[in-house]
Amino acid sequence: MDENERYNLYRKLRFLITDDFENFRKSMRQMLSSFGAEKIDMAANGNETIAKCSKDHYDVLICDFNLGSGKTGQQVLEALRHNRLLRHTSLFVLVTAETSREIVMGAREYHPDTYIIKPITQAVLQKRMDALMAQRHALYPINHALDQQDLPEAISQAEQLLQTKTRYRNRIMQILGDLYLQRGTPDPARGIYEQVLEGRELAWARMGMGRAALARNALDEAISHFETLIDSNPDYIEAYDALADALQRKGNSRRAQEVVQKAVEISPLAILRQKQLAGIAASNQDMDTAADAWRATVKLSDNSIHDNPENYLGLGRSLSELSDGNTSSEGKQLADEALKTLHNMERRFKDDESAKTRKQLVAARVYAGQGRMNESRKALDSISDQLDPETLSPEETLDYARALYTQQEDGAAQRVLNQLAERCQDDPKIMKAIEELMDEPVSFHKKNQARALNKEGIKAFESGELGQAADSFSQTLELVPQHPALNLNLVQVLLKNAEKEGKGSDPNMLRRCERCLDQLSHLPPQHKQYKRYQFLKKKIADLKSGSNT
Amino acid sequence: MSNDLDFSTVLASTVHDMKNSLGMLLNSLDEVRDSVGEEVRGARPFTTLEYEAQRVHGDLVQLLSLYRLSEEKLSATVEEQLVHDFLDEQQAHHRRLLEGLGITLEVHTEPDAEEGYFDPQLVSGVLTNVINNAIRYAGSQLQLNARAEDGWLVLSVEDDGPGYPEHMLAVDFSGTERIDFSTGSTNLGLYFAERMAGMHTAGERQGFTRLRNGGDLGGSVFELWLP
Repeated sequence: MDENERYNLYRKLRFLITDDFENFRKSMRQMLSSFGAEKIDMAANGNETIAKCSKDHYDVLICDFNLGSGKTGQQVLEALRHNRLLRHTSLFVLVTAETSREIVMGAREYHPDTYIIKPITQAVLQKRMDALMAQRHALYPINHALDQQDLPEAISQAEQLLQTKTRYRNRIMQILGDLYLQRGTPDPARGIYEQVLEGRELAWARMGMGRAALARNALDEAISHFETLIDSNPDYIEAYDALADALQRKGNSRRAQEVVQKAVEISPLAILRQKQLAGIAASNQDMDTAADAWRATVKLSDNSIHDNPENYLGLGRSLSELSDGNTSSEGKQLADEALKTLHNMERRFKDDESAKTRKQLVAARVYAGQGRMNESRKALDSISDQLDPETLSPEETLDYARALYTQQEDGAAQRVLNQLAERCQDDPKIMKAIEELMDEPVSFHKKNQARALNKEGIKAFESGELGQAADSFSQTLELVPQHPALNLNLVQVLLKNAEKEGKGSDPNMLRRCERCLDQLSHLPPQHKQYKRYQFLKKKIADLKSGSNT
Repeated sequence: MSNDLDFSTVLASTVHDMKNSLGMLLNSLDEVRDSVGEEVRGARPFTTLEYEAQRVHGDLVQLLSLYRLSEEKLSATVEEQLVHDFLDEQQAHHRRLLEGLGITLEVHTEPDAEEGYFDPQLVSGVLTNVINNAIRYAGSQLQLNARAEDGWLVLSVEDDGPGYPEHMLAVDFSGTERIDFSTGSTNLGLYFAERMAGMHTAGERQGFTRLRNGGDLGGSVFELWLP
């Protein structure tokens, strides 16, 4: 680019410089004007930048990572992308004095067009900007179509560009593969990636192969691509996310959790991934990891567009699980942390009525888990006018039922859940949560104990040691007396054992079975164990009447 | 309070801090230069200040990379690079200093070496240090070249100085055993370059470095061979 061309190009573009240091803004402005730029705006912090971008359009944003106390440059980019305030044809340049791995990894995830490491000299800036401008110019037809939300046109522009002699060939192939996947046509996308990989193992092409396989639901193939990629490029963070996704879809949520944990280790500043980890860990009953991930999420919420009460409630809930029934000093500490988190949430979201309600619901549970029953009841009383099961949201109702269970108001809890089940029959996620809660309305510690015993029981049953299996199941039921599957397991084991010993209608055995079935008298017909329950109930009744005659 | 201070972590974080400070210092220096007259800018004390600061900065970057390498936290992010743009930027990085020293640095990219696949930050770290070193021995000319050979991309830094001494040409940098790090930073620099080159692989091929004398300018020639 010669001086004249540069001058004419920069003159037309709108620039926005963001830095908390006035000196830096000035020197950057001076450099840009020496290239010919005339329309240069400046902002001192992230919020000002976002406000300016909602009002005006800028072609080039040059933003420092470290902006003092508010948002970081990464959070600015995240917010602009999230709110669609950045056009495809615009350029985002992230400036950083830092080369620490965490920051570079975090920043890379939101794909700035380039990042420049301080110190920036005029000569280096000019070279970098020139190269960026030339690329922007070459890719403009594609990005312009994307700004018009015209995907077919963007694809056709990219295909045309590939027919010409261009130095951006690789970049265009990468974009085109991506567009094919967006359009939902993984086959031509795979064609592109295969073509690239024939020449050279490039990370983006391997990633694309995996994504194309994922789109075709070829999970094993996808997993193998992502694993290959991570092996050769351990910093390629998107590969971890995609691998975790594939593993979860395969039902392997343990490994999915390990993968996300690894990704979080490499790039700890991405809030949505921390939140995802919290969710997976909780579903894996790994409450310690879940709590840590929620802690990180809450910490990263500061100044983030992803700041919402759900993050605080998530942390509060996981801490309440961990502290439930644990009155040691450690348990007390966890409960205090939960209450403090909830308190912070209430202060932060003052105008959010639902946040207030949910705070008290979770707090009631935390108090009850520590045996502080008065405070627990008080927490519920303070929101008694909100506790109408008809108007509470499903999530709120679940929290309400959990609080009631912890207060040992099992009957009330079941009534609330039954009402909710009627209302949410078509929502499998809520139905599953209701079922799990009714099955095991006990603390996390007891649940874990129960799981271990149950496993022992199943193992004994499988190796034919029926007496031992019955013992294990009975012990488990002392912890979770109303667990449907467990009660039915025990009934079956007792029956089988009696048959084996030729005492199929032993009255003691039958009485024991009946006691198990009595625990399930409230089992709703939509419960997945309901059929089995009906079947065994009839069988016991038949045996009993047979022995009487 | 534990006394088991993990000294390498302390060193690394301090070096990181020093490097950032030095970055600020170099930035200020750049600004100072614009506000003083030619007689200061071209004077020896000023160019020495700038050259030595840049050298220390390069050394710290090298040190951090070696630390991350030893912790197995360094990996190459190989991406397609437009070689000429990349070398232009390396030249721009040194331009003001070279002007002050009266040394020219030309960039030549051969038409078949327009595209390359490498990690720009790692390679930039290597070239910066090699150029800083070449500045010390060069007469008045430096070259930064790119060519293709047998499917390799060869980036080279050449000068018109006296060339590498015999004993350096003989060192094999592929292992650490026989390298004497006590004689100064040059060997360490070349070891660093070899390791960074080696992080670039494609199939069976692995990047490496090569030293020779001669070239277009008749001085030392440092070559970085990338697969």
